[in-house]
Amino acid sequence: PPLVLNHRPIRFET
Amino acid sequence: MARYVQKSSYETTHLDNEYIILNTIDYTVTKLNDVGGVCWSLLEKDQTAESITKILRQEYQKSDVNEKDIEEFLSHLMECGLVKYAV
Repeated sequence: PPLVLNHRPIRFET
Repeated sequence: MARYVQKSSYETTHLDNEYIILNTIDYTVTKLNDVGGVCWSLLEKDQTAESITKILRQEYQKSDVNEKDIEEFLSHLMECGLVKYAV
């Protein structure tokens, strides 16, 4: 079955 | 029946049977399994859960592709902000 394995925001270093 | 389509044209990479979608608008990374990636590719055009199920049944030659699974997957993509209702 189709799955979303992982979903997360990208963190940027300023 | 609800019709879905990709919200925008995102960068997508196919790596080791996984699809990685880079959303440069909301700054998120989403990883899908192989079949999820096939569904994602289909969503470049308007699709319903039923139309995706039909295509997967042909593609994988399996009649037990569950439309309910596809609906759940589409809902999850909506939560991730990657697809929208097609108008």
